[in-house]
Amino acid sequence: MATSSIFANVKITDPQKAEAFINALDASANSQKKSAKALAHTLVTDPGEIRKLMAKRAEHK
Amino acid sequence: MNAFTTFNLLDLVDAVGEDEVKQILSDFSCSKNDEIETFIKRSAMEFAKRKMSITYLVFDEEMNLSAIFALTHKAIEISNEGLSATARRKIQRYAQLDDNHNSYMVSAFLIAQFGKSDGQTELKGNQLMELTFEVLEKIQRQVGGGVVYLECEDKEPLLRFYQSDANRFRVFDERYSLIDNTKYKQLVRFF
Repeated sequence: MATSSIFANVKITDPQKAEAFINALDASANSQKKSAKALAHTLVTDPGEIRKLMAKRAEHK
Repeated sequence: MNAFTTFNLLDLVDAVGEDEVKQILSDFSCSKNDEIETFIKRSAMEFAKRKMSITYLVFDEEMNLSAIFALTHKAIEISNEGLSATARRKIQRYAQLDDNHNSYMVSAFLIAQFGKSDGQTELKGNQLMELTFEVLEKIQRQVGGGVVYLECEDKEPLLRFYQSDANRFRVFDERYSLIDNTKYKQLVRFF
């Protein structure tokens, strides 16, 4: 991964590279999804709930 | 089954304050990839405050920081000049031609950073990618967009991981970064 990717713009002017991008996108869209092993996961956004969970962290430290 | 909880870094700051979040970030280590560790310790907070990228923090049941991923959104511009009729037909499924610039603008999410903390064995890479896409799908419901891309070092295990049946990214180009003195492969996925 590249932190520099945050600042780099992607502009494709070479027709061959443009076709490569389009074909890659299309191949991804048409590929069959194979799910990873199920995982219990929650995205928590409520501040009160976050504080409650982070208190657990303090207990374990 | 192990349970994981993910927080948006800014939500975590709102809940427990910046000093505590900085302390949590300082505990993150990733010996496989110094750049991720440096990003978390030096840039994640600043970039989030400036809305340049948002880092998500994944915690295990004991609330140890297990993994991170950072997201932002970018436009990918593709010139219409010289494209074959087949390519034009395909790209029109994902983007609209901007007649003024004779180019297609593809609105894309960027996975700017992605990695697990040292010692984290319960969470597999493919599972972390699923968590990443859970967040992306929530954002997609709000603002649209179905293209995601990333850049990774030109290393066979990394390319195999991202292009696996589970992760379904495909290589489309490469970029050489003078700052990092590194060649990155660029990969894209539709979701």
